[in-house]
Amino acid sequence: MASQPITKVYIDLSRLCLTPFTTGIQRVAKAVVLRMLKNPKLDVVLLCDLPCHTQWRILPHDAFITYYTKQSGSPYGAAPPITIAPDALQPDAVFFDIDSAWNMPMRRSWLFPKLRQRGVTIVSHLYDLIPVTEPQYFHQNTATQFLAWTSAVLQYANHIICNAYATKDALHTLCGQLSLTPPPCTVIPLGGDFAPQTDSKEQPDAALMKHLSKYRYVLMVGTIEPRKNHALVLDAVDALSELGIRVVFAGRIGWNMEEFAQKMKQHPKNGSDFFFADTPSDATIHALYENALAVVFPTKNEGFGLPIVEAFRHGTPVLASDIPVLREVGGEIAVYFDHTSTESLLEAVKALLADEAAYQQKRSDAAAYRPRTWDETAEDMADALCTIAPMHGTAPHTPLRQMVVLTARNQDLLRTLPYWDAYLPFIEELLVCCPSKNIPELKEAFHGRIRLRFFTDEELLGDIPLPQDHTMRNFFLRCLLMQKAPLDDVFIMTDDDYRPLMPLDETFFRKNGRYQAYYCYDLCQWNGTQGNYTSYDLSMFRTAAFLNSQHLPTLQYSSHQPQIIDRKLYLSMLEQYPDIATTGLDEWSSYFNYAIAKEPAMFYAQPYCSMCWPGAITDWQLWCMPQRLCFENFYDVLYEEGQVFEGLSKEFHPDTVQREHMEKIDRWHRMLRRQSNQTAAHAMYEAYYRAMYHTQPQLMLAEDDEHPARFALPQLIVLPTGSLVRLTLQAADSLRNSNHAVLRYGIQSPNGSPITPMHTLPLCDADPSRALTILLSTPVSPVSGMLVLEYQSAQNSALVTGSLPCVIAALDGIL
Amino acid sequence: MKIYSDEALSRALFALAEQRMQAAGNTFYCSEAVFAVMAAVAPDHVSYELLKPLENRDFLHAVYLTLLQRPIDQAAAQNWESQLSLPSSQFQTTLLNSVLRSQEYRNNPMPLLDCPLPLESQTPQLTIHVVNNGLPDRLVRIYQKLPRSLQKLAKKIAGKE
Repeated sequence: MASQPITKVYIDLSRLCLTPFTTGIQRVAKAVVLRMLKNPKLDVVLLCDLPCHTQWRILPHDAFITYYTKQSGSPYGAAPPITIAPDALQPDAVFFDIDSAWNMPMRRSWLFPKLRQRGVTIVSHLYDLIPVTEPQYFHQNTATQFLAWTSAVLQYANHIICNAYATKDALHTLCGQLSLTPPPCTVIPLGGDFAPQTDSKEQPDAALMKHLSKYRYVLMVGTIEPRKNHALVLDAVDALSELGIRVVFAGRIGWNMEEFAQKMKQHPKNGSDFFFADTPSDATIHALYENALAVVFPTKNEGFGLPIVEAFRHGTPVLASDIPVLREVGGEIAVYFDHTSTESLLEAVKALLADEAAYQQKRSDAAAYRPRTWDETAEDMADALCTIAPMHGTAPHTPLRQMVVLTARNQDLLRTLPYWDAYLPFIEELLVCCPSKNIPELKEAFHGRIRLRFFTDEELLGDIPLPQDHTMRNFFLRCLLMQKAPLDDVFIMTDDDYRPLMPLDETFFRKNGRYQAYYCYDLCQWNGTQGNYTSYDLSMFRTAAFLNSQHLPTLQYSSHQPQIIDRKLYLSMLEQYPDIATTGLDEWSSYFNYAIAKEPAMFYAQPYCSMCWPGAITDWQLWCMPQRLCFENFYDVLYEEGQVFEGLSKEFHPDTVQREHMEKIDRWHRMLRRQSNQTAAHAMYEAYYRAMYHTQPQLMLAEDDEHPARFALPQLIVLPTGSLVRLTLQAADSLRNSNHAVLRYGIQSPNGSPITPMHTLPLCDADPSRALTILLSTPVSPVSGMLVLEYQSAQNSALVTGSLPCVIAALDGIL
Repeated sequence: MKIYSDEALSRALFALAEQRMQAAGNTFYCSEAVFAVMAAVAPDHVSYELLKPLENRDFLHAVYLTLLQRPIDQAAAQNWESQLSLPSSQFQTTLLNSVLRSQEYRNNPMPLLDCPLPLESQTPQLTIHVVNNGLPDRLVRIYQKLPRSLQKLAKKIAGKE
């Protein structure tokens, strides 16, 4: 029997774990989560905020269950915590917010963009929108936190689960007011079969119950707060008393009700016709419910109305505000009145008293009410999560047999073809887009398994002129290719120098119904070769600007390895943005970020798998490590003397290729480790600095009212020996924009002699959208000195200088 | 349908809620600009870049809400009233120096980043000594002051564990 696909779900329960009392929302979260942990369709990971507020600890299931079912132990368990950061969540998983996330220090405005970038599906539970529609009923802290949370949900949630159609309607109304497309929304009503919380030995308040036993009374249960409208019922005490009915409030005094609490205390009939049971025990509440004439629920607005369900469970009729959400919950059984009118409440009570048979029928109807169970609610929520983010993706399973390459370099292609032939057995056809004059040589020289098919530049371009710039030309050609060439619906796109290092099957590109998408960077952090930007760098900057303007994710997918392309999605991008073909975007990043935002269930984004990107480990700072090395981005120069692949073969030799590939992988890993060690050393320095100074060590060039330009520098910087170090200098825009502005920097010994040369960077050479990079090549021996920076806005203007102590130490000395 | 930036959406929502507050005879304790800052601030630090463009009164409220994580109290508001007319960089520097040196801040410091203002730090300047073996003793003390988890990671990377 095929195993059932399992959906991974992360649930943040920080409020449940960290608050000492349990609110209605936490009761819901607990009831649902305890059941989801037993659901075989789900792989649930429970999270709780750490004090840093940027990571969670993972809660062990057994400890959580024991704590919340038997009130024993701790929800955290006894073992040292396993922690997880948002960047480490599994991309095809669901992040399900069912706790009161607006109250959590890990703000969703910070978290959700990271999850979106990662490809995690965000599902938010929306209890109500009352803090948005009626903020006056809430403490301002709560209202502003809720507003910020709502903004993040509307912006980033892939799906919303509500517990009432009234809430869904409120959501749509709000989105209409903002001219926003509402996120998809599913309504799943809450359960009502809470387990009794009474200790069997606990007794109700004897004095209160004895006094009330002589009378009939109406009951209000719950926190006394403005929205619940206790004032209406308090105003009706005298009139109800004339009907022989007493009034009982059971609950605690809530926010901003001090004046009302005084009013209750000083009510002339307090203790005779009106009673306030302050924070009563569960046993008292149960007894009050059972013996009440009716429960009154005159609330001005609610997200659901659990008090109605609780009243029915005790067989007690309910008089409820005539608002849509309560009609959803109370149905035909509750009696409704105008919550703005004392008269309307009195009429409803009189109606109950007028006909004893009808009243008893109401009690029978209430007693016969069978609430929806928490098992049903939790099961429906689990099914919704599995449907919203199916573990098995929705990418079409059309045959994957074609590879497509755009090339003008026969020799490069011919050298790479044997690798594809040997290591990509599922590829049957290679569509080569090249100048027609290249075809005869290719046909002559290659006789492998893969069938070559050609589509010429002349067929592609016709009379259309090509852009001059390399990357503009590249993107332009790819866009034309998508529209004109005989492409399969799904194919592998590649360059002519991406060599597989091992046999790979289709699952490398498409697995469990998801296209595998391999990223290597965040475009917004790509700084390029400052002062000497390449065509590639400029393309990355343009692509970042475009994606940001469309509020799309900005991962960089030009990972220098073959990647799977869905032609229909590519064409859909070109249709949505008809003018982009001539704008020189990166063909990989534009497509994948667009496609993943549009069809997240079709993709699985993950770190890349190619070596020699960067070609030299000092070219740029890695943003993420390749997860494994499956492709080589081939560079001739790396095989020369003194280079990383010295002594290894550049060509495919079937007898030795596998052994050589293992050697290449090993050598490249050593190069990666060197850079990651430097990164770790810098992280240590930053962590120390932060602990000491409560701030990050930052290099800044700023202007203010007193100084036209001034350096703001850390107290100390620590750099590793024998390394190429990149530091970021944040500079005010106005200081960068001057045409003649120049930055100089270098490390000097305390007596002024140079430890490194002074570098000069004309600031106009640095892209204004990117941070300035200070590049330092440190000496191989430990030394200390000063990092000196100089800024000059124009040739004869004053030189602005800054310096900070700089220690260059051996990594193994630090570590 | 509109496409909003994060800031624009949070401001639009706040404006809607503020209308409702005013209809009920109330008002929020912060302006829309301050709310936008609060909505954008990271969980573990405050970037000065978010605060910088605010006019002085909003800057005052935002500093309390983000760095001290509470609304400004009436006494403090009155205390700063006379300085609201100062040029913005002077006011910002004075206010930040006061807040960052306060015991309340030090009890629960929320790091302020990206701030080029000349803020006074009360932490003593580091002095660096180079010892004969080339390894500054200060660096040894840096390592020793690291949290244990970072020390373990460092040793693991160096192959010493």
